[in-house]
Amino acid sequence: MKSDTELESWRLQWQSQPQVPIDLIRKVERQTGNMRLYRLGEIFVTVFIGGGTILGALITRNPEVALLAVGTVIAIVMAWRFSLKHTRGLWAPSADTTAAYLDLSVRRGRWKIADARYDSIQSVLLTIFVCVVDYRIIVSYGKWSRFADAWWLWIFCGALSLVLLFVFEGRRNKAKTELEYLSKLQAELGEIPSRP
Amino acid sequence: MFERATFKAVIDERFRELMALHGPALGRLAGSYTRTLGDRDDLFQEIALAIWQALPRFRGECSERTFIFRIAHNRAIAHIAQRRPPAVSPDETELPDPGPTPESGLSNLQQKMHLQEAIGRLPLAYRQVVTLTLEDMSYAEIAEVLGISESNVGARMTRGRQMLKQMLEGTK
Repeated sequence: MKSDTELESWRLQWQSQPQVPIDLIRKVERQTGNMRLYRLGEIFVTVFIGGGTILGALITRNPEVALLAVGTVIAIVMAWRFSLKHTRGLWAPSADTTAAYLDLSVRRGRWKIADARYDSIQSVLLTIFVCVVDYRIIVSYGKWSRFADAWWLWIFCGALSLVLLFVFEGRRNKAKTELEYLSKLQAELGEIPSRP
Repeated sequence: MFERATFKAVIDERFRELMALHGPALGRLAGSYTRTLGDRDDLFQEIALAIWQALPRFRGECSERTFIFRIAHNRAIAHIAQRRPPAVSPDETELPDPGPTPESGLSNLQQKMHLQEAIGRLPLAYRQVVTLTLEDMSYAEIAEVLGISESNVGARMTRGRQMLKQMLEGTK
């Protein structure tokens, strides 16, 4: 009978439900989705920003534009190195247990904090670098002759740097709060997995 | 004093046996009353403590399983009453979209999670009956655990099943 089969199916699913609480599974799934989007963003920046500056240098043959391309590529390479190193082992839990899911969440939390700190430093340095090189490019085309001519560029550079610092510091603080909560939960539940 | 120590040892041993036997079911029950890992674990600890405290008073007036589940449900209700209603964020008002229809390749794990989430969203009266039925309890046992009539159990189960089916099929 259909209804009995249905109830029996539910009973089997219910009694064999995953040991890991659903909220933790969903959280880890959401984080994995965000990490994939983040990685796509990294690829986008590499191809379009990195590729764009290289193309610009080849087309214009302007040494300042070449400098911009070199600096951008170095920054991208360093960012990839950081990203690949710190996301190793963060894509999936090591086991289908609460301990493993919690451990993954805690390690991802540590990565978010390190990533926010790295991003804040790199983005500010890159902003300053790009503004200085842009100034030199415009000077090379004869538009400006004095440092003070580009006053709006320096104001923009300063303001953007402050905004970026604020944004990434906010991200770092949020990640710290979440990490504290997860670490406390991990300790309370005694769910520290033994790591080889 | 020796008899008291022996009695305590017997109770402790029986408690360990009962938790080994019914622990997973109690964990599932605790999960159906809570939304987060922390809350689930708190409730499970409260249930275990309540069972351990009540065990010396058990005189066989019902089955051990009925006795344990009655305590578990009473503790769960008290747990809910003590907590603030959980804030439901906008993205939690519906079940997560399972993607393709259930017949067309939803993974085993996703199906189990979907069912667990749907049961968690049933109104309490129906959730109690549905979870106990899925734990292989008869209507008579459920009636004893919840302190209601068997016909009431049947009515709640019918309505609970309808709601559960609608949620799982995504119909209104």
